[in-house]
Amino acid sequence: MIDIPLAVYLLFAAPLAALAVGFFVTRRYQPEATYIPILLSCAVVCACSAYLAAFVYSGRGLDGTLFRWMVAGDWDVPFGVRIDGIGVSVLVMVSLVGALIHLYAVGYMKGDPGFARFFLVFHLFYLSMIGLLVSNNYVQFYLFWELVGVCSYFLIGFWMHKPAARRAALQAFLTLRVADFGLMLAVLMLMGLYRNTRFAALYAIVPGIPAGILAWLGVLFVWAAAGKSALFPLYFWLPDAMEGPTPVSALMHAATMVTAGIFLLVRSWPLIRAVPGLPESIAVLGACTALFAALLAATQTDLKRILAYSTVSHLGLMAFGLGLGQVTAGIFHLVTHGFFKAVLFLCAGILAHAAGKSTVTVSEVGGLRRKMPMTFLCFLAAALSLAGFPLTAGFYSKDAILAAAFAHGGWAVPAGLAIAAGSAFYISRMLFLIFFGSRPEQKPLEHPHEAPPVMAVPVMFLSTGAVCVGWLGRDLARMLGSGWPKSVPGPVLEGPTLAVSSAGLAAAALGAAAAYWLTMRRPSWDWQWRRQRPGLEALFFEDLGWRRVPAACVTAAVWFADKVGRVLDRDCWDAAIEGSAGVCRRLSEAGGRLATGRLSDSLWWVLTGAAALLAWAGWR
Amino acid sequence: MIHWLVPFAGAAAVAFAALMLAQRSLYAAAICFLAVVLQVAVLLYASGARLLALLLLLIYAGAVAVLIVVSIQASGGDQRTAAPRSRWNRLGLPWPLLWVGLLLPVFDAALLAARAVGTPTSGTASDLALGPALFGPYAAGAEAVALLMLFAALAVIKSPEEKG
Amino acid sequence: MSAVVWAVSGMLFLLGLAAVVLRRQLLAMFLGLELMVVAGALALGHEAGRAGLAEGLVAVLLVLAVAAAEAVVGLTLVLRVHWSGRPTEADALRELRG
Repeated sequence: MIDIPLAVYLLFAAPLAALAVGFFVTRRYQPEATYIPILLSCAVVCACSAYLAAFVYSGRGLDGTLFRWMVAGDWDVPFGVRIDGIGVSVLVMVSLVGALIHLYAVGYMKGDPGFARFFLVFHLFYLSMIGLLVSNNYVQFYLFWELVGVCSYFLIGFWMHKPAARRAALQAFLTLRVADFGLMLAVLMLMGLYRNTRFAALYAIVPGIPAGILAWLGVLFVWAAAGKSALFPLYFWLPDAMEGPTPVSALMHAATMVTAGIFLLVRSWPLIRAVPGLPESIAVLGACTALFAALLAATQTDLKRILAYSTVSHLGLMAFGLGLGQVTAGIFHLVTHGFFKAVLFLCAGILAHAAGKSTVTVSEVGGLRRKMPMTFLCFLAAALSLAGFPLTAGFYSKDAILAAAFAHGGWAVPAGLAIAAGSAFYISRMLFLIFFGSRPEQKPLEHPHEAPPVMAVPVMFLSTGAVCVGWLGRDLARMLGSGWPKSVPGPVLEGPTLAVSSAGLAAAALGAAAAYWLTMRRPSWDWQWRRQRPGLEALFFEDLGWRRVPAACVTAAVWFADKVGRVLDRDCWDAAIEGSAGVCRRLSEAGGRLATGRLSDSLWWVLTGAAALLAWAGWR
Repeated sequence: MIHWLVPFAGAAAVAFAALMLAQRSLYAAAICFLAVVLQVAVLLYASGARLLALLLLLIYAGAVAVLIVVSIQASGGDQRTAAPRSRWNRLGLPWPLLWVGLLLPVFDAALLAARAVGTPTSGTASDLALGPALFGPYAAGAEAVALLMLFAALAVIKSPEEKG
Repeated sequence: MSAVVWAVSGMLFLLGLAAVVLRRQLLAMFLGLELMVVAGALALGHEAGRAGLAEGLVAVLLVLAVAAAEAVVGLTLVLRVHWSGRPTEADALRELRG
């Protein structure tokens, strides 16, 4: 019997208790105090995840059932936990970053009439993400996956009075629905074929699964991950999801929810690995997404949208690393990205808070280095980490991915270097435009003030993490070794070689230098090309035309629904049902014509009946 | 020689029955019916039921056919066959052919008289046993049928308000 | 010989049936009925004669008697139809009043 540590139970119990108290007690009587039980629960969860990290680091692992959830005949879906290196490493990042953002949100959402509602849904999301990370079977994973999506809908559309927010929330939800359909199909296939969706059991039977089914499962998983983690075809909901409050953007759309897709791929890695050509396809998809999004990030003006495209780009980078076979590098980048992207978003939130709006564009900020020094330092730390400055966390994780690219050779090398250069370019552009120089087009903030401590302290902690987490790379690799059965070759984190590091640094320096030249040496360049070529700007804002595709899909879907609803339902089905009365009438009239009353006709019927009887009797 | 009688009589019966079916004129149909009955009587005679053949002739040819002809007459006769006497319309036949049918039994009798009929002599025995059977075990049945015929005769009585 | 008589009896029966079903005039239908009775009497009488059974002959005789009675009644009905002014055709008789 597996002994499940108390920490696991607390992981679920603490948030549930906080939600119950918040919903039934504080929301009714004292809405402004809703954050108190929730922050307490965050602290408990962080402590539990640290304990579990130590648990796994010391070489132990856990895959057990908490209770039997659904049982029907020989179907058995347990509700269980799987504490292994993969889950726990991401769990630590999620719990820590989440807790700090909860704290930040206390200051950010102060005064908002929906304060209590925000915290409850936000914490529900936190709970769902944790549940997703420790699930031990696909059905439970799917439950939490969907729960995360639902919370995303509520939080993106938090400011319900804004039509743009409602539309963005609906778009996100429907796009994710399309992607989740793939996951649902995969789960159903597994349930139907193998009666068992536990990860441990499936890892063991992977060699025995027919190639066709494996291919289907792999493709479906990639499709689901592409939606949730904003990879190329289904990424377009993410920039629009910036309508939500900044804590939402920071937590969900930077650190946690969007990484759920990558996490799904990692959990399913033994299956995906066994499909020939699929990892390579994932790498290609990731690289294309990363480059495409980096290009678009360099052309946006809204701060949060730049960061959203940056998130898409980094998710592509994670997929790129994953597809090249380096699962450790992918997870490492996932963890570090969570830290520095959260910092970037929170700083953007502080700027917006200082401007009194929900978000700002580059035209409304400028030269804030002196006026908001703390924000500047945190942003700088995170930006350096993103660009891959030596010794920051991003440097180590990006280096690991570049090492994988170099090891793979071929097209991966220029792709990796281009992504590095691109990331450096757009983040440097952002840094310079916001904090350096004054440009004629920029209308500076009226009251630039630093954030209150409740918002500033989490940002500082997180920026420290953004720099330091990379030093734990070796330990991470050691933890990840317990994730899979021995048949899968253990993940290895190669140390940064000189060649790879220098190539990466050179690419990053190139990008940063280009950004410096275009924003500092030519201060108005960013506005000039927009004035001279408005068509080009419109093209970039439309994602080089890709935005029209989902719109066309929706139009096609509506056309189809109209055909089904109007033609099929009203004209065919209703007409058939209502016409059945006419049919009955006509049948009865035809039948009535049989009763002629003529003797000869009656005689014919007698003859026919007698002949039939005789024939039947004769047959016997 | 005899084995020509039965098939011949049978074929003639069937032929005249078909003609009866196809006749347009009611009188001609009645004549064909009569011819069929005559042939059937011959067949019965050749089977050994001689008394029965005679009774058949008596009842059918004597009574029923006459009744039918009278009824045809009384119900207005043949309206539709005013003209065609010898035309081969769809259903009509020349009268001479019909008379042939009535003469056929003569031919049958000739065949019979040519001896070697081969009818079982047991026919007479059964004929003789007919009487005792009728008044013995089947007395009740015979009485019932007689009553039935009486009641049937009552059907002809007309009530005063009927015309005709 | 029996085979021929059976065949003849059957064909007479079918022809009588055809007359009943196909002809329009009541009297023609009646002739068909009588033909059917004669066919039945032929088959029964043939067997009775071959086997020498008096009972068979009795049966046929009774059948003939009943057929005669039926003829009387049927013809009376036809005459009544005629006297009531309606045409003596099956098609015209849709109601049985009078």
